[in-house]
Amino acid sequence: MYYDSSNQKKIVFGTDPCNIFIVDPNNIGGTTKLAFSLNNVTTIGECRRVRGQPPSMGFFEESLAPVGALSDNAITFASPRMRAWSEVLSRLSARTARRLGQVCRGWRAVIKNEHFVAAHLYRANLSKRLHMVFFSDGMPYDFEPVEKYISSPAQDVPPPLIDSRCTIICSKPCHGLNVWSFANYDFVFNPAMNYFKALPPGNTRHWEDLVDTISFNDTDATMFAGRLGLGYDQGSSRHVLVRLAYRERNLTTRHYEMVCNMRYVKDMVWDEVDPPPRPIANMPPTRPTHVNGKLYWMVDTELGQRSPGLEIIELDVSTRKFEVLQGPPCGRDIGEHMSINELQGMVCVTCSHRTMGIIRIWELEDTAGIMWSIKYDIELEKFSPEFSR
Amino acid sequence: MEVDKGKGEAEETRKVAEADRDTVTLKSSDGKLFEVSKEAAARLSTVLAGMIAGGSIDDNGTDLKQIGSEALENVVDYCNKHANSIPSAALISSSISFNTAPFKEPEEWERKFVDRLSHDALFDLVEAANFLGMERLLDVTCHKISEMMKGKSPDQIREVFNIKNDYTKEELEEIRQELAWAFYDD
Repeated sequence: MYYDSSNQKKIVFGTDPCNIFIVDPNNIGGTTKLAFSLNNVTTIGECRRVRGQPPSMGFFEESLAPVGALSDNAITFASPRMRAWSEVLSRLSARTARRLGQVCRGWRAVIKNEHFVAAHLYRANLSKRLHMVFFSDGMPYDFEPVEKYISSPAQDVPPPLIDSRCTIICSKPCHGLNVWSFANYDFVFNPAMNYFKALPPGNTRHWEDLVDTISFNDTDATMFAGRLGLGYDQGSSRHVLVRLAYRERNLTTRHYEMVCNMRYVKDMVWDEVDPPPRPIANMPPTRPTHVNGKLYWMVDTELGQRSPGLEIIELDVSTRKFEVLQGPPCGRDIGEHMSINELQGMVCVTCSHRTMGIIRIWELEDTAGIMWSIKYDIELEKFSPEFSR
Repeated sequence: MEVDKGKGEAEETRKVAEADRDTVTLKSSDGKLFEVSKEAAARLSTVLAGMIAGGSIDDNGTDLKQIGSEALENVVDYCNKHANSIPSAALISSSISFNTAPFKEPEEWERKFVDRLSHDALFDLVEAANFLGMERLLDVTCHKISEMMKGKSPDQIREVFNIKNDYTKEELEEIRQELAWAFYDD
């Protein structure tokens, strides 16, 4: 969900492979618009495709949130003049503010202050404008406001990256940070600030040892779309990473074994926690979704015990406990494709009916009582069925 | 418009409308009195709104010890101009979301209002707006300052705003390295 230049609410969604659609929620059915496609276009711009890896894209927020070092909160906003400057700086873009750290110690202290970062994040993203980050060869390389592509006639400004396969899994922004996964690599990053950090794969082996041994075209079972989640613990004001991996995944016997690790972004070590009570689905557009301090995954219906209805896994990032929630009444028909999303601060399951040519968005109204309601039906019309995933 | 009243005048105003005056009197750190529309003050300043609602407005002049007379004059001027510039029907519908609405470009009169201020007056006004919780005035003044910073190097910014470079050469080099480390240059 974003607001366009005239502050009109719009829903933006991507389909596999890499098409971006825009819908006016007040006028569903009539105005589905293909904003642009990353298909069938050759490489543009300075995109480097060293290993021929497919590019991808995601959305991000304006933020100064650090991916590593702790913010220094000892510094003062004691003088009224410095408080005035902090007001000015909090209204600048993240990159400009960061660059202005060169001016003097006081300014640098301000932009590194945790409270300032939080205030800046809030202010900079009030408009709910979307920014996009494009990836090439597993690395983010271009950052653009969505409107650059949406407002202009479709073919004039092609997006900088194109490919038919999305093997980069980029999360939605969560309090100013994103995570992305590429082959066996995981990263946490702040696109607005160009901060990014590779995450060591686990406690047992060092990251450096692994770099040389990983094959880029690895289809290892640990690489699945839901494996890396990013949440935000409101209580401690810290970003939390959740990593899931399959030790075993046997579709014939339906036997599986999962491991789950969690850590704060700022910490170095992963803690092993009890794995979720259900297998996590690997559907490429399905990333764990973060809403209000909780992460949500779809359950894999091809593993473990068969369940009568669709199920969803919820993780409370502060208590580190998983719960199973009953999903909306869909997903049992052949030709349906589902993913879990966040829309206007609510958990949503989008269910694409290939044959009917509609994408139905279910909203979880009440997490305690589990009430699902149909929020929107988006008719794909001429875009169906080839874009209905 | 600003009303820099003498003591006698202020007292007279108090007599006229003890109970339901539509203005409030504010007193600067250097003891000058200013009168401002109660409606505009409550709408534009979260701090004044709280004081009005909580009954802590002093009819003899509410002490604002942190704000000098020049800045307070500008605050009052801004409030009164604001009260005159928007039709009241629009106010009611927009007032609810005022503090959370995305930044809107300054209007023509707001632009003129900040353009005539000196650097010092502008910063004093930011401080006063910050102290009084005046989000819109902060937006407008900060926007003006950021326009003055636009396209300038750190050196030029120090010069324009008279800021001392308190970094050592080595520290500055280190910070530059850190900035250059970004994979995508801005």
